[in-house]
Amino acid sequence: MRLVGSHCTVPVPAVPWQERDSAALGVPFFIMNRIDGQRTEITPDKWVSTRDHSWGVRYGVGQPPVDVEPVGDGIGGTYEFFWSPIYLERPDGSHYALFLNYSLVDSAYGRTKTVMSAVEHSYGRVERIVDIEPELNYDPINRNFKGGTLVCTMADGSKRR
Amino acid sequence: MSSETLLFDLSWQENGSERTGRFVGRLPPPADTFPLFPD
Repeated sequence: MRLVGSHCTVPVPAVPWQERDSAALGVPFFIMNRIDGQRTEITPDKWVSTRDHSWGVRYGVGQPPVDVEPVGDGIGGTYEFFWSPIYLERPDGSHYALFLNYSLVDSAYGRTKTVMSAVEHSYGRVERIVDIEPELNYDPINRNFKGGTLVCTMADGSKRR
Repeated sequence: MSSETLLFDLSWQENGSERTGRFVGRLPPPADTFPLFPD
């Protein structure tokens, strides 16, 4: 945070306290000073599809970590990835969304598939998609994406395409 | 990183005088939230 603050013009708060021990709250946490600015409340009437969560270091963001084995790039094999948040309007004017995040790394080191996907409704309600089998078509000449079907397995075991 | 955010005001005694501050707590998101990317 100090480094970010010293390299950009956006106000960056000080972090007076980092608690790595879970004893106090059951989880680690950190405390930042609050700085002046505009506060945006997330209320049901402003809720639009995805609010994502993570903790720690997000894969593929920022400088590559130097102390772990590389994933995906540089190890050969197959790498298939899509991340596609889609906001949809029904004929009656109401909205819902698809959050599609899929990655498949298949190499001599093993096969890792990650599916973080759902049908998202208003007020934060989600129907989780627990698996996706993509049936996608690419132009054999230039590998441009031509279309296809996502066969989705929902949390209750039912299939949607 | 997108964690749970808790806004709070705090007042405390320090060397006999009253101090106040406005703070932001950041905690890991609960395991059942969506989407949740692994550490």
